[in-house]
Amino acid sequence: VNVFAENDPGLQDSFLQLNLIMAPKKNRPENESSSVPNAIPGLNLNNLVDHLPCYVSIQDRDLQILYVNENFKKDFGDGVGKKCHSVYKSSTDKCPNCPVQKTFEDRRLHITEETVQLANGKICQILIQTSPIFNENGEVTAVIEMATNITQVKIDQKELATLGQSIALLSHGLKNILEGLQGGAYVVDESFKDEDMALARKGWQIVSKNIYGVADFVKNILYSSKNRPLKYDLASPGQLVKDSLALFKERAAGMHIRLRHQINPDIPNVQLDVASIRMVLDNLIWNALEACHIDKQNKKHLVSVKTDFFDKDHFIFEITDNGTGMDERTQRNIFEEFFSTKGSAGTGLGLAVAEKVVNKHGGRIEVTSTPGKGTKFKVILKIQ
Amino acid sequence: MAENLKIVMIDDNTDFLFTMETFLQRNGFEVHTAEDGQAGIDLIKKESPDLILLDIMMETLFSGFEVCKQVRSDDDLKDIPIIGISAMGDELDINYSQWPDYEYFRPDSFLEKPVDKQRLLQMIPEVIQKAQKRKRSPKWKKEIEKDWAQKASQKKRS
Repeated sequence: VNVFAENDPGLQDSFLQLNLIMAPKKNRPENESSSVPNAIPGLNLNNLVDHLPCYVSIQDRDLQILYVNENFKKDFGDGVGKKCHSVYKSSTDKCPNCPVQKTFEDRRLHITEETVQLANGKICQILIQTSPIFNENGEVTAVIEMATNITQVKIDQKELATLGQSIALLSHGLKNILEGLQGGAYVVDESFKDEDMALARKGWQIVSKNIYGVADFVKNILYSSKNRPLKYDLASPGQLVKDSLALFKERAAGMHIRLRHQINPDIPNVQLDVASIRMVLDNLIWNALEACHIDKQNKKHLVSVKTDFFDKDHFIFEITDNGTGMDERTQRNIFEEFFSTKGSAGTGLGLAVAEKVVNKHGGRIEVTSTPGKGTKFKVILKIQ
Repeated sequence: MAENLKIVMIDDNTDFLFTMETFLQRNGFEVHTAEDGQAGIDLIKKESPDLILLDIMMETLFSGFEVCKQVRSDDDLKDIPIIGISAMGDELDINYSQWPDYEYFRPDSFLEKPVDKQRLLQMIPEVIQKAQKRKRSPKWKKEIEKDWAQKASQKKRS
């Protein structure tokens, strides 16, 4: 019956006791209890528990560990003689939902999940199951605990939850675009009835704005869902800035926002994935325009895009607006996928995609912002 | 029905405001619009409309929910029916039900973007009629609280 302690003289004492506690009233015949493990080379009753693909430990009423298996030792160190909470969590207090104590109290099986720290410092989620060990009088004398590392399961669960949330947000974004398309089309239809050109123009403006919306939306979704390798071409940063700004000329005029560019003519042509850097600039400029557009302060709004040397090996794209600005919490979250403050207007993908692209180029994005004053994004890239 | 009915519409999306204004005017309603919550409240006080169409997910500090709250807490405005509009659809009720006092202030009805315009035309008289039948007394908030307490204790007993 004593399957654990033979290899470890330090455990003998506590296990002699356990042995007494656990001894069944009638001993089973030797060969029956040992026949299966003996059939497998290298495995016997003495090391069976050590080989179990989970952590096994036995605790007494004071939560002191009496026994641990090899797998436990490998990941948490030899915890025998210590309290389980100090081994699992380096904590002097017991865990709030301690399943071991519950099993001592109600003599039943218990299951909990805990976040613990391995000896190598790694944080893990484990699923713990406990069951009581009884003595001859039916009293609980110890609790055996089996724990499984479920960290990966937890990560997968989180991803699924994020995915669900993402789909809800995506459909929210699409519904808004659809509203714009249907609404704009309605206005155009009405204008035909009256042959009212001014109304037609207004309606068509709404439609075409939302067609842009669909295009941006789809581009960003595709980019964030695919891990596309970069395709480098030689390009002029100044020209990229001019191209992107040209795209937004009409939209900015419609929003009464001035666009300005500042280009250092000495910047050489550089190796870039042109399509994806264009998307970064488009996303940042569009954000800047929107930050101005939703700003209710009565001031002249301006979005300026600058490209210049950062140092001798790097150049910079700098997108500055004098719109609403962001508080610190927002600044911390802007690069998270599906984070958006734009509610109806955002997919929460634009900046996440921008950061992904810039990081892939070996560059970085910096942001400084003051609520009420405006925001500055710096994209710093190698000259190569 | 539509004749002489006055609607205040609050939404921070100017395109949506324009579309809906065009639609509602062409169906015989008098429409006044505001682009944020504060301007909306001022407009409601000035116009005492028969109905409020409200974007509940506005990005301004003064959210749609805040507008509901101010309307319902004002003795002169509390019975004006509100239709809440958002692209959030099903998720919406869940999100907003976490607000404190949501039950007192919630809109009378919801409409999802993209707006089904024919459904909106059906909904307007329904919502207005319902609101006329159910006038809130000046102590309506206390009454609802009492009603709730009763329901809660009934639940416990059963």
